[in-house]
Amino acid sequence: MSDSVVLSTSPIHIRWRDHQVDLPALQVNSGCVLGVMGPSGSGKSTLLRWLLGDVPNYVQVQGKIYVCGERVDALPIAKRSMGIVFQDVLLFPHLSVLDNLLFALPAEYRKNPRNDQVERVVSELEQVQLVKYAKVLPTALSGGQRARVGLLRALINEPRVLLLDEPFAALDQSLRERIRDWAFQRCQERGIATVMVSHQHDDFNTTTENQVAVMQWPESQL
Amino acid sequence: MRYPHLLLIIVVVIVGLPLLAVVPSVANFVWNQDLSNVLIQLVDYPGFTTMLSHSAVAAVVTLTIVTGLALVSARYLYTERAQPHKGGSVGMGWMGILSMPHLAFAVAILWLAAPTGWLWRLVPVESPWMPWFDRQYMVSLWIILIAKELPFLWFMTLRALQQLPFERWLLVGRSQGHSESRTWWLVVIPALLQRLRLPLCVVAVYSLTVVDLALFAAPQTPAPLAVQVAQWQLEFDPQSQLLAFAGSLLLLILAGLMCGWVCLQERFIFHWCQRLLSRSLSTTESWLFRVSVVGHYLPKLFVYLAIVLFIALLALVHGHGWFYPALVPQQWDLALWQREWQYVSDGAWRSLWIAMGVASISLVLCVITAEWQRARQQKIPRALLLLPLLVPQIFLVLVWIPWSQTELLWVVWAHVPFSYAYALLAYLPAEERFEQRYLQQSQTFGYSFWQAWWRTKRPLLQVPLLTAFALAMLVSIAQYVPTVFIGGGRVPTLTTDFVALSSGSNVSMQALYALTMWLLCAVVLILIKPRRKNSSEGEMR
Repeated sequence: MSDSVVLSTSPIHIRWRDHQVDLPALQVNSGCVLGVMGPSGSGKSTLLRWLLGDVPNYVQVQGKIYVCGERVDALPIAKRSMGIVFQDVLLFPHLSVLDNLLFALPAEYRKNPRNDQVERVVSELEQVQLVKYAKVLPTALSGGQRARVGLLRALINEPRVLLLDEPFAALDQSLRERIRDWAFQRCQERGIATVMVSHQHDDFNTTTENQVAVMQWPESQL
Repeated sequence: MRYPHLLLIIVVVIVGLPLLAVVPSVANFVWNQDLSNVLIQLVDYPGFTTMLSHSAVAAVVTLTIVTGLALVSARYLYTERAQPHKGGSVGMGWMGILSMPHLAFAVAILWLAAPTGWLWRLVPVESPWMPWFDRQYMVSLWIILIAKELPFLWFMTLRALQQLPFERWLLVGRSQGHSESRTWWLVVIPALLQRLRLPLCVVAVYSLTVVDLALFAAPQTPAPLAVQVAQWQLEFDPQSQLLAFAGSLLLLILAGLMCGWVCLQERFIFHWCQRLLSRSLSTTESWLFRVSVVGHYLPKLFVYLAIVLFIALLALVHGHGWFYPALVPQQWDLALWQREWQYVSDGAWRSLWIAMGVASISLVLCVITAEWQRARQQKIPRALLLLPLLVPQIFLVLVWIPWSQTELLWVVWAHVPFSYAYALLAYLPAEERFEQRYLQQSQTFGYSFWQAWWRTKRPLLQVPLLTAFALAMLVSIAQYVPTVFIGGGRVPTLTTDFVALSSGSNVSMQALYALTMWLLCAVVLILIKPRRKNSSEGEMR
């Protein structure tokens, strides 16, 4: 695992309505996880939306974002090299599992013949024992399967940073731990910097070798 | 999305500028003309008060009855077939009614119900109701307006109900000991009425200012004001055209008053429901609730009516030697088609091409409007977006005449504001429920905003997009006033040809045009009907 910095920010000031939150500069190395923990509604997801490049207009955020040393906060979402998995996973309901993953292949890979693309997706599905669900629509999957496909879809795009917005919250305890460890392990193997928000401390007690730093969300100042 | 403002400018230029043209035209009229003299001439015109009362009464009667019927049937509209997540926006029967052009409806129902029509031949009983359908009274116009506006309002009611968690409200009501129908009337109806405010205003303004239908349905009565305004404009005499503009301005004021009437009606029903919340039902109210069960049958009745009307048109077109009181014609043939096809097909093709152009432009503008709202995270007031439907059409068209030329392109432009507004009515409610994070998710995979829109949002919103496109096409096909006035008679379409024929007494010929219009609209709907099952799953919450 490389220790090079993948995601870094300047100190961040988030202000909305009568709330203000000041965060220190963040830094996440390759393969490492930054856990952001705090109560619901405290603005954790807003941090992820800001990193992704989609801040609601009632929120003002000041700060700079760097990915592998390149400043990205003026770039559109498509150019930031960040993947996101939401709590409700948001697999495209009109596409099969296979098509969801084909859709997410990196742009340069999408130029290859379709057979090559399918082969790549199937090999990824084989690793997670989901290959028999390739032709199935997301509505036919269980919660755990949906979460795995959602994570796989984010990872197959080869982002440098993965943002996880409580993606395991809807799963039961044992399933949550298994899927989280699986996701963290893959991020470590691929050198992806991960930022995960959660309101449960257990979510960061991983058995994998990732370096996990947990940041407690500060209280609002106004 | 990059440069949302630049994209919005396209909408403003195509739809906003024509509306803004009202300001200099009205200013010119007010400052450069002898206003008081024109107004005196208008008021002194023979039959002015009759024209005014005909317009106002038609609007009030249509609005009140359509509101009542829509509300009593609202509860039964949301059936299995009508729920979008269970297979389609509305059933095929519904689409049949919606596809029925108002003029085709008018021809068929007037022929059915006229004193020598099919209905009275089937039931040969003398009835005092018979003469009312003889195109001599405004009643025939009212009935046609009601019958045509009701399906539109049902369509809007369905869209509004999809936005209300009324099933949970009914559950809560039941858990608190109220009957389902009481909860429906006291809780759901007031909320529904609020959401129907603008569609009801559209119904009121349309009924107030309708020209083509009034020309056809009640030609032997003193004309409503809108019809007289159109006739003044066609006289090509400067004084008459001044009267036309003054009359259309008066219609604008009346349209504002009608919108006020809609709000009053809403308040009245709201207060009535509030009063009922805290007391038990009176005998009349209990009776009213029981009677409202007829609403269950109204939509079905309309589907059957559409089938009967279609058969009536077929019989009229293909029947030969059909004299009163014979139930069926002496012989059936295709002679009328063979004789008239060349003329009919010419208008039909032109209508179709114009409609396709108009619908394509309208849909693009719709999408831009919706995405601008998303990008700016602010909503443009719905009344502003629907302004083309809330301002009398004849007034807008008279304003546009000096700015336009009698060419096809200008006719297309003149159709766009109206088609755009109807397309928005069909598209926006579904778009606002769309989970926009799907787009963000796609963009994280390296797609640009519009690539992501095409690959993700378009298929997920396929049903409302196609419905909006179809509605925009149907609206364009039915346009009479903008086509005839902006085109200056040089862009004949099926609708303008039909209205030109309507003053004659050849019912078979009218039926031929009516049937062609209907078939054209039906073909549009069949071709555009969405086929994919999961296309509406992106509409969430």
